Amino acid sequence: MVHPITQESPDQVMLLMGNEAIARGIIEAGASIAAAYPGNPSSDIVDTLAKAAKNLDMHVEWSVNEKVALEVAAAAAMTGLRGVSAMKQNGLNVACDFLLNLNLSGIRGGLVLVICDDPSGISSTNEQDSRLYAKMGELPLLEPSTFQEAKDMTREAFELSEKLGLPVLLHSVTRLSHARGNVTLGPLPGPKGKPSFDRSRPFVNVPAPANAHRRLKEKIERCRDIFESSPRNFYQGPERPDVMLITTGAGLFYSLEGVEALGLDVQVGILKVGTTFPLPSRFLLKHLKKAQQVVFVEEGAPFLESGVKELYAEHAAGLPSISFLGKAEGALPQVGELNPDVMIRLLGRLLDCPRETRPESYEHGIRAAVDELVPDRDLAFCAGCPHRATYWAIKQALALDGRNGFVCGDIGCYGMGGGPAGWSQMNTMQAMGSGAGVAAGMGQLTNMGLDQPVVAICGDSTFYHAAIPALINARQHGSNFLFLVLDNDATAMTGFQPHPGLGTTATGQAAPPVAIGDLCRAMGYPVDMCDPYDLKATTDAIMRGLEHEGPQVLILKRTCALVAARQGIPPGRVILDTDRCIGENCGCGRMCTSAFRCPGLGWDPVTKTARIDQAICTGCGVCTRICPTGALKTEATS
Amino acid sequence: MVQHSFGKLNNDVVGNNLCTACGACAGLCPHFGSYKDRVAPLHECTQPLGACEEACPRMPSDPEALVRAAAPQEMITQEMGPVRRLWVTRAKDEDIRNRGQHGGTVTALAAFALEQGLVDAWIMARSHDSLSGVPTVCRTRAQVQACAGTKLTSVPVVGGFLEAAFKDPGRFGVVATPCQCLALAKIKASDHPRLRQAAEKLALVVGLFCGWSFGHRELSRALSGRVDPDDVTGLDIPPSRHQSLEVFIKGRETSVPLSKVTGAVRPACAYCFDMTAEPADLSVGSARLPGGWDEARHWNQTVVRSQMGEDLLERANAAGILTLQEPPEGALEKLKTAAAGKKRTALKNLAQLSKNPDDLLYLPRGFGKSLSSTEHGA
Amino acid sequence: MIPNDPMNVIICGVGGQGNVLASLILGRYFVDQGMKVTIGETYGVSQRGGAVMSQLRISKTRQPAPLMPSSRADLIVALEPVEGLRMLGQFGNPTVTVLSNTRPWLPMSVLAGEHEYPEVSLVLDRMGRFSEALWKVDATEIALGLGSAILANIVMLGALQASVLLPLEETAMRRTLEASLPPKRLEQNLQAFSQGQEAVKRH
Repeated sequence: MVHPITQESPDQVMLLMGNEAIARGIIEAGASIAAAYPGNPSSDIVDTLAKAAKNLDMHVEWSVNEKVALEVAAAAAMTGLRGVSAMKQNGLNVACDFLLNLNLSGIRGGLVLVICDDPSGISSTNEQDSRLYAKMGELPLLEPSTFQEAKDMTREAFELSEKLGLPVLLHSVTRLSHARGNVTLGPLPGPKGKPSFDRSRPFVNVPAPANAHRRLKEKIERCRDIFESSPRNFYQGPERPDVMLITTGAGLFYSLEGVEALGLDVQVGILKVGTTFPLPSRFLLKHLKKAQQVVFVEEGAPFLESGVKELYAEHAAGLPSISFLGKAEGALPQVGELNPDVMIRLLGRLLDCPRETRPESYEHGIRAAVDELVPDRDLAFCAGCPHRATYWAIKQALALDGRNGFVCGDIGCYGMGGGPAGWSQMNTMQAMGSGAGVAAGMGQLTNMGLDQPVVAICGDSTFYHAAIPALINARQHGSNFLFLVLDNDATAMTGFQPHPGLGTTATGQAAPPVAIGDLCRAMGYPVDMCDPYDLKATTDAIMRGLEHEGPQVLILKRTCALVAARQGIPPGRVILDTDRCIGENCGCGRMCTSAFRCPGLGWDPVTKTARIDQAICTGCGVCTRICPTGALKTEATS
Repeated sequence: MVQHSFGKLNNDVVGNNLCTACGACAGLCPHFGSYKDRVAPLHECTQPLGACEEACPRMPSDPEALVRAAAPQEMITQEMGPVRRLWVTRAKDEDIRNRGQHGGTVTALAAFALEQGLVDAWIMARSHDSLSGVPTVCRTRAQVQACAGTKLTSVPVVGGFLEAAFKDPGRFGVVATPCQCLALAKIKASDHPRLRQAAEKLALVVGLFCGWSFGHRELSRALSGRVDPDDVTGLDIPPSRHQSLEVFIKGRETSVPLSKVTGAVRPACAYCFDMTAEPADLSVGSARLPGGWDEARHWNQTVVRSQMGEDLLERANAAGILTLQEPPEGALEKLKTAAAGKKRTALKNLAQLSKNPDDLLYLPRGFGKSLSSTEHGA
Repeated sequence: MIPNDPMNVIICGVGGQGNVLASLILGRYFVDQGMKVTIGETYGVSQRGGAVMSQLRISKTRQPAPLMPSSRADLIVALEPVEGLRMLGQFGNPTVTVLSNTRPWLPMSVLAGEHEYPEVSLVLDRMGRFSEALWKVDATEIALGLGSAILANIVMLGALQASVLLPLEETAMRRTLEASLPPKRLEQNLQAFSQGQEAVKRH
């Protein structure tokens, strides 16, 4: 079956996620390599391409990390073809060392780097505005505002890249990448050329990086010229607006929403900028001439805002007096997402047209009903999740060890271990693999009197991504810590992309698996392995590790419960012997529901016993090892 | 605010460094756990009055009241509880003597009691790895013999007893240190249904004299550089004038100055008032004989406390299991003096901890007041 | 064709209930009808028992924003009753209509016995009081009758079609279902759709 995203039916309208629209743009541009490391909100781009790969003449891969992904994609552009990489904001931080050299070396074919920022950090550990990298790296930056633009500007980014011989950054945000909207498809590309490497034109910045930098400056000025006439920048609204909204990216959605909600289309104009670095100065100056009051509508940093303000400061003599309102003035938030309410409130205040609100009785009544009847929903590990068992064992082991040991961790599903889902057992969480690196440092402090045991944890995919250099470092310097690899055979947080340990690639080809245990042994670590479902063995293994002097690795291996379900591994069955369940009574105190807290287990307030929700329970049986009376037990299934 | 049992044990016992790691709480409840010589609160529990609180030897109780029933009033001593008789004892079996602590009395008695069907199993501490031990259910003579000797680190024997009592049928004997004997006595005296269920299975308690015990981790550190802790097969402490710790290593024996290892003593031991395991049927410890340590190290002193203890000892004697000798003159007085010294130290330390001379935390107000009269008695 | 422009629909529930698929099917239906549709989602916690919500916005003329303004919902489809009430709190107004599943999905704090799940009848009562009309469907019961609780989302779509709270033409809607569901599960899903329709017709 042909994947719908690869269909040759120009002008067909599809309902596509922003990320799917970007993927279609990549297909229409005829890219030869797409390489990425998963991270929301960017993952669906390469996920989509991977699923469609067999209909495409394209190498699609989940790379080991973002820097390698960008390097792999750049190879296409170095040989005259087109390459693309897509990553979330944190990934760009990883890839930047390469990117901020490649900007000087330039490229031959088209290279596009899609960056998906996550304002508010809805599925992230940080909040950052990655557009600032465009300024630092002096690289062209495109910001689509609609689903259609997400596709079209991706395609155009490749053309621009080839025209300039520069990588081009395409910036999206959660509300574009992860929302769906109408997209009209364009034509598919013709046959691709043959790659060849031209040795007479090497990509080397030395011995005179400054010369390369000078060439970059020239390219970026040429880019500015091109942007002056880009159809991605336009003004809509009255000739003399009371208020001019200058906006980009998802800001356009909210600008339009605010104007429409208050019926302000005769008073408010919208200047939409799709090319935000380098800024098209002539275009902007032309439109600033009709402005009296400008409001900047963009998510994240005041990026467009400061660019326009700078431009105004340079050309104030020829321009009317304009009052500016943006993040610098506190009119729009500097942190978190934008939304229609922010715009409606702001425009209502500026133009003195308060919006309709709910009747007061309704407002009070519904608020009271919500307060009274709507409980919070805590995040929890899935039923059957090996991480719950792992954190239980860590909690037991650290408490029994009694030296106030702590856990340096990082990013993945197991990051929830920092919260109630994992009994707050994870105590540091920054970058991918940083648990290992931080622990390598902590492990040195044990020689200076830090008398708390140090544990580091990382997931399997994270291990390959960034933990290996830290482990080598720790080994070289004799750091004393216990390193736990939570190996669940999945990159689960981002949607089950394959990693180097799984013996398969993004497109389903068999690949030689790279075993974590082998790598650790090769680095000189003693390696132990355990099934986290076996709580006793896992707790004991961790206890042994805590008492052992010197660095060591414990691999906690158990397939993610969601992956097991997908693979059709038949679930077991846990049953409750109600006669043996002593419930709240002394000697149990609802251990399974009040302490262990698996979503598959509930409390029956009538019978005062545990209650298994067979629709949710995966039968992993970990709770049977917690139940003090043997009331919970595993039943053999056929 | 209601303080739940879990909170009390967590704050008042563990938080105050009073926990003896007897394992009672962990044996009763999954909210506590034990590992080697540590017992730790793991998960918050909200029972208002849990069995853990009733059994914990460091939650308030009246230890004197608990032992009063064991013997007629005139046999109760201020310094060391009920004393029916004091004997100097040792096993007749040379093999047991060689393997056991001092005279091997406990090993011989335990094996005898099993064979006589007085108990179905013993809960004893068995050496596990390096310097730590585990509670072990012994149903055969060989299993009992495997528990001979000590490494002077705590083993959560009460936890082991409870676990076995809830799981297995039969009647159990327990070989326990003084703090553990107190927990067992509290279990026997409690009305708590769970504790009654366990108490029914408790047939016999043999107590061990104890001045203090080591933390295995701390002892391991203290010994390192002198001996490899993994090679240690047993430990002993000769009379105080030797100021040394004897360390048995496969095939040889070495001595470590006591001052090098006192830092490894569990802080909780400073608050313990009982040297002779008062709430037991029999209490056994090292002997003090005219021939000095070279002679005494092959003998035990055994205090007979209850009728049941007396019966067991007599039967063992009649069966030719033990050699019983009259203690040398003044032996009981010496023992009392030492026991009173431990009590006084504990009371002083408790008052210091509570910052109130009348508040003895887990002991009743006025406990041990009459001791002062015998302070220099011997 | 649609009563308001844009028509603001919320589909809400708990991670794992198939919220996203339900909104995607509705979105595709309206795109096939020549409308402009935007679906915004909460996500990230979707597999982990968190509250999830899709905002489906339909317009003849313009591509709506992926988030709607507060208190501007026209229709709320609740796969879980408390989630419906939660959404009314932010997006409700006196003219909103609600179609709600009656089966609660207990949050962790309720499973753990720390909080009580409110009486479902109370939740439904409040939803009725703070909407123009409330339609109740025992979608999970129907789905369980068909063999899997996960079918509740499709039962709800059937109910939605029969309720005419949204203009969904039956034949076209079934075509969209066929195009959106894996062939081997299609039969079961179409049955779920039909039983959802029946449930509303019995009302």
